[in-house]
Amino acid sequence: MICEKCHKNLATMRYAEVIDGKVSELRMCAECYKKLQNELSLGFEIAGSAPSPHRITEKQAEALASKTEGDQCRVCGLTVREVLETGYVGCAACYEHMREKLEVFLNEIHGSLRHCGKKQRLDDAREQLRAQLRTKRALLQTALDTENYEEAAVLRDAIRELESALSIAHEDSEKEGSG
Amino acid sequence: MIDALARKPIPWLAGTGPDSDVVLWVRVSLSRNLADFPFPSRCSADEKKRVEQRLLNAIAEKNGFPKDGYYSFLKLSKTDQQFLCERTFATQDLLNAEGPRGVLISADQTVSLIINSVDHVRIQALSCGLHTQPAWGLVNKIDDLLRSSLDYAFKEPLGFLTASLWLVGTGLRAEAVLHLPALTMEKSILGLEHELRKKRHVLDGLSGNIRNAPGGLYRLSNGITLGKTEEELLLNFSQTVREVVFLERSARERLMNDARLSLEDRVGRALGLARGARLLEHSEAIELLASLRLGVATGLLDTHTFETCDRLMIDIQPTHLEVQAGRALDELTRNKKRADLFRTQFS
Repeated sequence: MICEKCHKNLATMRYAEVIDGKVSELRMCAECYKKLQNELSLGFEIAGSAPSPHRITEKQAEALASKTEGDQCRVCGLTVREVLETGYVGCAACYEHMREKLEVFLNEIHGSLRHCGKKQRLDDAREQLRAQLRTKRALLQTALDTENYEEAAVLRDAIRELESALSIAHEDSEKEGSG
Repeated sequence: MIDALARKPIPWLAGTGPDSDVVLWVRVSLSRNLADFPFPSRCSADEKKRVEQRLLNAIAEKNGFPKDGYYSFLKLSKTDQQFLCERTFATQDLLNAEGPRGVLISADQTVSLIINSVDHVRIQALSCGLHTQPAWGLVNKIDDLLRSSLDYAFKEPLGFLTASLWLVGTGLRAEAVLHLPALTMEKSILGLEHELRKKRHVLDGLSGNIRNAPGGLYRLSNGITLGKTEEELLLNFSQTVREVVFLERSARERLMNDARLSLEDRVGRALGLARGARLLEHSEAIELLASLRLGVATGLLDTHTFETCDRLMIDIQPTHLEVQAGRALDELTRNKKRADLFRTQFS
């Protein structure tokens, strides 16, 4: 029998795989079997691959790419089609130059186009504290709603700390302003 | 340098964190890029060199990072690169990338900075069990440290710009490695994956194949990075992991009630093989460890700990065996050394 993987050599190995209780069997040559074994041992990748858990479906990519042929980043030269095929952009400017097309996908992936987290610079620390405070207050409400009192107690302490940090920051900025 | 690293204890494998009967470890990471350079895939070697230098200088200036060392991939052998990958400090993407790149590892092996992989830098911290907050605290601190002297690629309203469309915004990824043997046996994984996807979380096999996850080991991570603060994302993530932990524990309970004998048989056979086998392939060893870990979790194997199982999970990988032996090994010798490790731990 000929190897079912490379369709060239004589099949001397049997490889069985159980998926959802169903056994599927492949007959392959020693070379392909070895390759598969190597793939399997590399495949057990504790380190984790690039954090891109979903893939854009081929259909979506095709539909969008066909409509947008020619769209391209003017800095790094990457096209929309390339971005959608790989899921990666080439530079920061890609987000600007292909904004409209990418926003469709970003919205589909994240359900939002607005960043609510940390700011670019540490100077925005005060703004960041405020954002944290807003988050914590919302979380406290959720914790109380779900009767998660342990979590609520921790959050209440954190909120108190943030509030005092904000008032100290406020005093500092007032001093600087008057001085 | 690698030899010394290999001998050090790994704190996030202590098996003592919250929910460690199901959660092996948690990793929290932030991906960032510098404003003045294209992302690594479009960088020249010279640009990558400058990015690397800037990041290392920024860290060195601040003294806030007690480091073990910087491992430049240009100076490491393939084996050493693969070793760092197996130990979770580096990623396959870093291995496959080209040019100046590497990984900076903290003295306690908890934090690492992956430089010039998919993004200019990925700051990641690991912690034992479902200890998400401590890991986040470490990552956040180093991010602040870098942020105070470097210009990150950032633009409102999208936030931090990353190479991957799945990370833009906060750049935050939280991942838990989960042991779900009972849910796997009950064939509930695909349904669970579907439910989690609706909640914008991603469940995948540790091998990247959810339908065939060796040892019932899976990876659960947050699926979105926009529209929520880092704290909210992490809270949602922890809650989701806790729900899965609850489901797995219930399934284990059902197993103990309805099929205790089969379970005892499975654990007992695994122990027999661990003590008696002279040759063990990697895939077989993973299955053995998974059965033994389930034995520890259900109280059927009270002579051993999660730490023994989880540490072995790392140590039995092909390159770890080679680094330990100090030379390249053929497959037969690797299988023998792997079996030796099991016998030492379980006899």
